[in-house]
Amino acid sequence: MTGSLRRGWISRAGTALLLLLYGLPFLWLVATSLKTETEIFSNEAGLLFQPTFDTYRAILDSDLLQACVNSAIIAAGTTALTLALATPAAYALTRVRGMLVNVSLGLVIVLQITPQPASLIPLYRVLGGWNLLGTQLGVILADSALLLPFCVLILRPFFLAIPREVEEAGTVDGASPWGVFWRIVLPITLNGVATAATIIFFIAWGEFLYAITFLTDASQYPISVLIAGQIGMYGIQWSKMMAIAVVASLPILAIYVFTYRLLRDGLALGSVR
Amino acid sequence: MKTSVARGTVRRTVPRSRRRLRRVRAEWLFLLPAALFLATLAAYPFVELVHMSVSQVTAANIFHDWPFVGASGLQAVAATADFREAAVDTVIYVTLVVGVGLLGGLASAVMLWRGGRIAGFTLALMVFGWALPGLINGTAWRFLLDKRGMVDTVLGLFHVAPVYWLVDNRLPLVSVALVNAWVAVPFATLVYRAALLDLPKDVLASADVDGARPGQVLRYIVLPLLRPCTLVLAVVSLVYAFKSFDFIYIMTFGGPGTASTTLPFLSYRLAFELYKYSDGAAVALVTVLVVLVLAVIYIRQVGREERG
Amino acid sequence: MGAEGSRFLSRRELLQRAAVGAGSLTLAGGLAEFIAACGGSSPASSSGHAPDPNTTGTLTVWHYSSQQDVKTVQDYTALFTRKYPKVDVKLQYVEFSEMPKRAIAAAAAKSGPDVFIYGGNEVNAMYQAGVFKSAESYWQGFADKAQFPDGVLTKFKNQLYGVKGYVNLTGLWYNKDILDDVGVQPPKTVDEVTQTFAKIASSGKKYTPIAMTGQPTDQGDWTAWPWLSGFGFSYPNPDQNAIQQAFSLVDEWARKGYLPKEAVSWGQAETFTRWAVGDVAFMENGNWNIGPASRQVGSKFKYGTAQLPTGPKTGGLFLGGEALWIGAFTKVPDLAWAYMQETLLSKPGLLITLSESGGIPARHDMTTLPDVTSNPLLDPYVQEVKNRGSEYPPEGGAAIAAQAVVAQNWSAVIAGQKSPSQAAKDTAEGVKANYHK
Repeated sequence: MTGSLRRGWISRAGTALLLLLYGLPFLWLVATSLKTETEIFSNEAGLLFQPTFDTYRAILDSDLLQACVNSAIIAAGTTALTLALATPAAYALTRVRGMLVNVSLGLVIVLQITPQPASLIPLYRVLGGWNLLGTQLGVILADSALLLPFCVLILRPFFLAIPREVEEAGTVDGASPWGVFWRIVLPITLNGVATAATIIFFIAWGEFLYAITFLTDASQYPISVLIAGQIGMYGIQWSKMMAIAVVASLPILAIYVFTYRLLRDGLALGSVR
Repeated sequence: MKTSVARGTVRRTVPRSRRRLRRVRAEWLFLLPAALFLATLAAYPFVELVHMSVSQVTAANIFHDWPFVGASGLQAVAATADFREAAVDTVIYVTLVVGVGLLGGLASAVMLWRGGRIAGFTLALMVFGWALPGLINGTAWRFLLDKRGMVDTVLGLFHVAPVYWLVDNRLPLVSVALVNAWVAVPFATLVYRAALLDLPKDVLASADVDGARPGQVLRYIVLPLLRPCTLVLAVVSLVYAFKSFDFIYIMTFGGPGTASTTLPFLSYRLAFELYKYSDGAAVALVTVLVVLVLAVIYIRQVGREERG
Repeated sequence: MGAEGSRFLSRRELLQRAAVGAGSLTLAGGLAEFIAACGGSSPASSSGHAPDPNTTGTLTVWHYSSQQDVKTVQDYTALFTRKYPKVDVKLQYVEFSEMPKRAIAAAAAKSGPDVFIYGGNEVNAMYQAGVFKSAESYWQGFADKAQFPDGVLTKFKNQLYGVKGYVNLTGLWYNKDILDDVGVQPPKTVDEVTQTFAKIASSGKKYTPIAMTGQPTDQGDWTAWPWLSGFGFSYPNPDQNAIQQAFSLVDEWARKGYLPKEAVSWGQAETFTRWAVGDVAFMENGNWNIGPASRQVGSKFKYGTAQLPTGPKTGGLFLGGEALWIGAFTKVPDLAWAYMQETLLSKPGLLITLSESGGIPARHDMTTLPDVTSNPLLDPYVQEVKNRGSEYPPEGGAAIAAQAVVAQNWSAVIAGQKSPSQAAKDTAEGVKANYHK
């Protein structure tokens, strides 16, 4: 019965629908990157046409490669920093009692909803004061501040799920609080940490606003800026935009293939435990 | 997962009370780096936002003194027709994103519960869509929802007249919200799927034995057990939906006219297109306050959960 | 440039010279350059006399030319580099809509580029936030200043800040094959317009009569301006009647299907691409499409340009184009002005922008050049500059909030969200509320 729920025709139909809903857009995206500029508009919905690789030939140059590297640096840096700060913090929030926890959580949520453009000018001043403008480190700091609250929220349930006895035993053995965290708790929650890492990486990879505001040299721009850069005042190069988008998606796809299992099994926000 | 748990051997080398104190103090230290980091890079901008919303700030004085106007700025902005329209649109938008997102996520999780290769691939495809930057998704859907785009072409196969998804009446708002939901569904699916897999097998099995129908099982057993999960997901999605801006920006720019302008988008336009910084900040602040109220509910519930 | 000098200089001196980075090794030039190179950059002077060609330094220039347009910027920058070979020019791309934000954020940290190449709407806010430096003293000493019409100068408090060397404006493009097929001519007045569209729509072939930008953005209000002003609208005087007549016109086109409703999401670039497909009769678009048209349309169909239909009042066409500005936090204002002078204020520079992106030189002494007069596609635009060119952004940028109101209502009318009378009322009230002199 849950048997039939799981194997009935509804489930089959539903799966097919989902496949369509999530498969067609990508098919279309790739197809568009293989069309000529006018064909994009004359044969908008078409999936059958004469593909041309001219657009890819035009965009695959050293600038694109550099942009990919930049995206990787920014995304990896943000992930590392965010996790380094968020993991102990999320752990602490689950182990401490009292009013301050509620206040902290409230703050975390409030900080998460501050609109990104609103922090542009204050952050510019702060980063400028530390001489970090025009550096990728500056963008990493800004992105980490943006994503830290969210990361804490994701990590929390994983730490909540760890029974106290595990820690108590560690403390009994004479381990320091840090030791307990580092050598006992963290290894158990590696799944959760990896899940959070993947999510943060993906979001940082796509970030655009901070990158274009705080970086000064075009050679530092990540690939998200390149995509937006196809939107000129006098012309939008749709084919190039789609092609770059496809290229930008490839690294995500690559990481995704490896971390998919983690995401699939690791997201258990407040689930039945 | 290597842990050596020495059960049953209690060696009291340090008095328990002192141990607890040491741990509590240490745990505050764990919070410190994150707290300091956020204080400089996140709290400061937020404080500036609040300050801006109670002052009169335009491009002319942004780098000079800000005359304090108190709540009158907030009141003035809230009284405008633009604000009211945007507020209504925001409620519709958020309801759609959270509603469709959660329902879609639950439904998808149930559909894909079957497991197997195709289900696995479908799930992977869905989550990949969620992982892509909003700029790419928004642009792709802009074309897909065009009159000559794929959606209308497919509808045309069923002899349905082309729908102007991003033009007619209330549709632009709904369409952008649905695209946003399309991106949110995979996340919800993952969460629900994990929860479903964790359901106590014995309860389900006994329901089977008792001859309960799928609908009943779903309604009386599964859904109640998914409540805590749903609540957390709801709040996370709420925050996400309230903040949402990228899709509107890239798909309709709040239009046609102001048909798809939500509060976050209005805030952006006021501050960065019209340079009425304090008005933009005021609108942003209102949004923050609303979500804060909802967040308080979450925290209360979580507290209840942890105690229970 | 090399061998002859070595007869007169010892090997050590040659090496010395190479180390200092001197240019040519001819006897006369070498010595002078050597001395100049030791002296470093020339002192700042505000009397308008040009910095020494041997000046060293860095010049940072912000622009928003995307990858396919940036060659033009590089080409005219080369004119500057030829005269000041020791100045390192850093061309920095910033996306168009982000440039004002980034400039203002930079001003918060008291920093910014030396030169802005910026022709958008937000100049007033940027000025107020202290992003620009006045170029008035340089302008007064500029020999050719009389060649530039008022409409391309942006002044604040009577001081010159920005100058455009070339202008871009909007006009009527048509697909000649379609017009011939249906048997119509480009309409000359607003009275003829709707009839012409009707004829095309009723021809039985699947032709779209007109494509234009309907976005609720600055591109939308740019497109709406000729029609609105043609009936007598202006920002200082937002006559509701005039607005209603213009909106009724566009409303009719949209309701009858002459103008596709989806135009509310089309920017100028997309409008062009859709026209270039070949089934659209007319489009309202700019002279910058001359190059793209030859590349994308080629010989697919015959096409031409014409002046936009005139309304009962003269009205105007916004004179767009990129203006040059000096950054407020520049450390080399003389060099910044020299850059402006050598590139977009000079005849060679404007010939480059003309040939590569179709920009119409604003200089009076260039309007009769064969390069300008011999291109039939350019001709209607050149006429319009003379007849109807109006300042952009309107009112020096102070009308930006009012422009947003216009754009939103324009978009709402095309989509059918508002009736022309309702939109006219909202626009008149909105402009009055948001535009303050």
